[in-house]
Amino acid sequence: MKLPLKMKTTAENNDMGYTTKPSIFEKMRSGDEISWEHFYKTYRALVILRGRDLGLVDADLDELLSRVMLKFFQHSQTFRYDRSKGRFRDYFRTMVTNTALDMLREKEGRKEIDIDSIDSSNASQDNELDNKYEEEWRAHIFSQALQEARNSLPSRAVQAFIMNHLRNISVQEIAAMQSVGKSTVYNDCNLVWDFLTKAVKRMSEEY
Amino acid sequence: MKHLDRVSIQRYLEKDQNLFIRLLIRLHLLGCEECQKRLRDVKAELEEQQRFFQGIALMEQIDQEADKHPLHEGTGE
Repeated sequence: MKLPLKMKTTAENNDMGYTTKPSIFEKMRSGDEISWEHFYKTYRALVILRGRDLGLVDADLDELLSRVMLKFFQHSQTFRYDRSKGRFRDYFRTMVTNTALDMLREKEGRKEIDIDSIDSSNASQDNELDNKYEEEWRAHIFSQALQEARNSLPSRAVQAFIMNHLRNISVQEIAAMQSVGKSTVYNDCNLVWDFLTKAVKRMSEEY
Repeated sequence: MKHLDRVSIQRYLEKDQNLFIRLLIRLHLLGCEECQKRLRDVKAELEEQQRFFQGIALMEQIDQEADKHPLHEGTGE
């Protein structure tokens, strides 16, 4: 297997100018275990997907997750929140990708690939992987937005939305279950959807 | 007939009204550009929702796999 070039961005500097929710990193810096667990659960799926995209097998993904978390732990002391220096999603991609590539190199007993050795097929592969990552990041944002809706909106509305759109339960059945009219179910679902679109837009800009 | 609201259009697209109401809506749509635009907007919204739900399903699947089967199990490490 020919490995793609190690990604090189300013994200690898210790003075990291990337942004995510500042509060979580502040807590992580202070060693708050709940914040670390929250961070782990929030980004676990993204790491797994990226690892799979890059060719790691399931048995390696646990190690990838551990290494990524360890790197965040090591770098958490030096995080600086400066949105102008880059997006968190790019920083995150670089960190996970480089960690996964290191693991693949270790498995194959290969040395780091020089930048000049990259060929066009690898560049195309990188592009494809980047597109896939953007899709996965979007899915991640959607998931976070839904979580925010769960915490912010009336539970009846969120339940109706989830039952209708994610569990494919008909509006009529939901209306019967919730003892409301069908229009109420539609309005509830619209309320949630409007919230989600705003949350997704905001998160896409923030991250 | 007054202009169609968002819920009426959604219900029309979901075929969630009786035939007579649907017929009235179709007739209205034939002659009302504003509601035709609203119909297009709702359809576009539904497409966006589809992408959203696929993304959520993907994340839920990965999370469920990771929760049910810890990744380190069975690796012999």
